[in-house]
Amino acid sequence: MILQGNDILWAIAGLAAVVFITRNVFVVLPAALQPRGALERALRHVPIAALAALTLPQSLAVLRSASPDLMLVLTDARLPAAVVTVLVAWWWRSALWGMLAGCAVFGLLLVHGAALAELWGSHGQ
Amino acid sequence: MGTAALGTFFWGIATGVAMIKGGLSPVQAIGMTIVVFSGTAQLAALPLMIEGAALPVIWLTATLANLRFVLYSAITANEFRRLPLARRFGLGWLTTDSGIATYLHHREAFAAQPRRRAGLYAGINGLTYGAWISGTVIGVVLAGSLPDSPRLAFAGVLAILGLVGAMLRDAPAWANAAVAGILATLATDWPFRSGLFLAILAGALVATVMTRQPVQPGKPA
Repeated sequence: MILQGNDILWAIAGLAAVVFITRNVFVVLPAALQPRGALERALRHVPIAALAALTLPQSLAVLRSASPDLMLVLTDARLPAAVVTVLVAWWWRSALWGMLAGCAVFGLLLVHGAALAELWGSHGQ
Repeated sequence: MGTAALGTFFWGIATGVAMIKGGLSPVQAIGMTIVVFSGTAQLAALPLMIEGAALPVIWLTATLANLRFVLYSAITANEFRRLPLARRFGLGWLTTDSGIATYLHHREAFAAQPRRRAGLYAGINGLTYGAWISGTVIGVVLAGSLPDSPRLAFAGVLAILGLVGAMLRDAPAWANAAVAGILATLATDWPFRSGLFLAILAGALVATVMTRQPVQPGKPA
């Protein structure tokens, strides 16, 4: 049963505190405890790692199904859209163009993915 | 910079829908979004709140899900160490995944100007905050008509992937993203999103090793 009354307010207040603390842990630590050298350099790579770790599992989710095949990949649409997004963004150095290209592919495959997979399959026979 | 906000906007819509369909009232959902400002924490806590889990369990789960922000705080603490404490707290609280990535991508233009860097950081993340709030409000208002479907949030995923793609400037960046993404995929079902945290560490480690400066003859490493 969902939290009621004051419990929801306490839950939200606690979450706000958790978020504030985790985002400011090192701000309150003294200079002697701040990362230096290789550790500081490593931190620069964390954001890209985090963005990839947050987004690739959803993009690759279709590959974790019991029997992934072309039909499933195309009708699911996420993996092809993700690949197009990254490649277009990398090539044109533009996140926006990458997103637009990926959304176009995503929309196209959601509507026509099954038909495309059948067409591909019939040509391959 | 707007792409990060756009992705957050779509994520906000999906989160708003999820919170209403999960049983929160519109006031609770929007209030939570305004004061918590963390999709990871909100979505990690939501099923526990629906089940009526104990408050410490909810808070601990959110803490573990948000561990990567501890790493981000080390970045912001170093970047803005000359600013007043209150301002550093504010900038730290505004931190988002896409915001800090975008900031590091553009910071070189203001490398020697800490106040302008702070302005850049606040602007990027402030824009993301606005997108998050507005997206969530739309999701809350339209929750009755929108499906609670992962496809709805995927536009947000594509926006973030676009950011990643645009930042893949060299081999270490490619290796970083590939290692982190593949490990996170393999460890999707690990408890408390621990797989996510370890994947981030692994990706950053690989990139650090690949970018370490070569030892010059006659000089210490």
